[in-house]
Amino acid sequence: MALKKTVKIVCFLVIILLAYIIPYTVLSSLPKLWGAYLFWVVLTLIAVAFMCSELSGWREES
Amino acid sequence: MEGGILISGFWVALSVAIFFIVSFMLAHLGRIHTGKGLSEYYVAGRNVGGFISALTYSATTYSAFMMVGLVGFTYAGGVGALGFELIYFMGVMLAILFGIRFYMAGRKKEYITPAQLLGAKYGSRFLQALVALICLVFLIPYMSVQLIGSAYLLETLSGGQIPYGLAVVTVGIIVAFYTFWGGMRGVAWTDAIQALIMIVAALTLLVYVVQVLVGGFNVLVLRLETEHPELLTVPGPPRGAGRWFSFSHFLGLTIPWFFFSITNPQVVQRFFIPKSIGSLKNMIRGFLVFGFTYTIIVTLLGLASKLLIPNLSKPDLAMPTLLGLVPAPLALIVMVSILAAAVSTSDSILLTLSSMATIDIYKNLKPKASEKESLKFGKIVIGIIMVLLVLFSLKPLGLIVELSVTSSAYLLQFVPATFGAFFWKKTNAKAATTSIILGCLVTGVLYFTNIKPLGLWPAIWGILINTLTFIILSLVVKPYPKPKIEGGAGDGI
Repeated sequence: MALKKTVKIVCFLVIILLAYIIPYTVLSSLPKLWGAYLFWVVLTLIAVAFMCSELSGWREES
Repeated sequence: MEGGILISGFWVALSVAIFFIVSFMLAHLGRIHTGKGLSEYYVAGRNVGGFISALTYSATTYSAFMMVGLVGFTYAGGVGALGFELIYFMGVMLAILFGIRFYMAGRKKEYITPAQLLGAKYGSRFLQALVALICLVFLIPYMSVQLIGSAYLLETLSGGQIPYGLAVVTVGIIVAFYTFWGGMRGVAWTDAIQALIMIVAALTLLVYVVQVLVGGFNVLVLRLETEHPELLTVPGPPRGAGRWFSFSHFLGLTIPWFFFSITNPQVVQRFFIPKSIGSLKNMIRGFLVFGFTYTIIVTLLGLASKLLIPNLSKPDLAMPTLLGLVPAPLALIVMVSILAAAVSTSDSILLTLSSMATIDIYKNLKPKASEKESLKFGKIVIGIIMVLLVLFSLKPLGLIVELSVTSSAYLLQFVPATFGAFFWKKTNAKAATTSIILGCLVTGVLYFTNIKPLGLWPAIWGILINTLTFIILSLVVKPYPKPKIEGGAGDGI
């Protein structure tokens, strides 16, 4: 259980770090809408899916 | 044309009047359904459904900054503005980490304000009052900027037929009155309708701008990539000696906002209102849908504006000028939606600050005060804040604007104490209090002296020193033997 929690926290931190790193490195020389713009949008959707999966675990007796 | 459109003052006034009549009717309906007592008035008896909770959470979070500030930000700085807003949005994960804890603690101990929760967790009435005081100092200016923005918008769009001063006084009084009248239930219901206006108007505007004015989404993409490629990467176009979104600037902007969902009391208070865990889940899910959609719409509007009106002297003029290119009825609807965004943020903050002044300061100093007496005090506070708001907005001082802009940097200083309250049994009130005071002082001194050591923004230094102080004092100082207030640290919530 603790391991599962740690993995989730690490995954979330990786998402946040990628949101800072990728647009300022790999995508900084790609002047396309499918560059940094699309990257942030897709990463956010992954974060949203992650959050929704967390929410689904909440029960009235939590 | 720069500086916005001229819609007849009559139509602007009529639209605003209809908007406020509907808002007041909803607030009145909220009043009818509100029972007696502080909990009923400030957190709607913890009995709000998921749909309304989601909409009030969304309307409270997204202010007029989105359709004016963020559109301008994207217009001038490009996609970095989207990155900034979406990194904030990802911070909602913290709302998931803490939301259930805030909700459960609120139900179990009947907390009404976030400062009350923090004070109880640490067993410190001083901490409770300190947190409330910091919120009052920084959020009143933040509200006045919403009022300033609304009044400028009405004046600009009516071509001066509705004078700025009249707009400030009218909007200020009406918002304060319906907040006072309806309490949390009234605010939540008006927020709900206002959130719907915000999203529908923004979406309609985007469709019109992209399809009719730009010529379709493909044209938008093609023209952006050929005419303004600098907008599609970070750090973005030049700004002074640097760039719009240099990495240190981006970091300084995003970090305070990343923690917004657990540091801003008007947002945290919304975790106390859902009627069940199911409603709480729906509140967060609804907000995720609303926030993501609204952010995408707004940033696309900013990028489209650059193609249509490329040479504005100030980025903030992008939205008012864009409205000059669309049919007047659409411009009026969008104007009302911006007003809705401003007032839905202000009414929520107003009610939250009233609850904090009442519970965290007044009742803190006068614990034997009855609910009726306290509620009377809280309603007087709404009036006092309204007067301050109008005064600040009629003659905006540099300091007021500065405090407002930097409010998130100071509220960020609650983060270590909030984490400690729920996840670290070893911590104590002295660590929480000292670290918050020190974090705010460091942030304030660096802001006002305009010093950025190592190129890092004041908020970053503030939170670093704050966190370090919090950890050291938590390890060194012995915790209180027994918390003086119910629900002290480590009570298992």
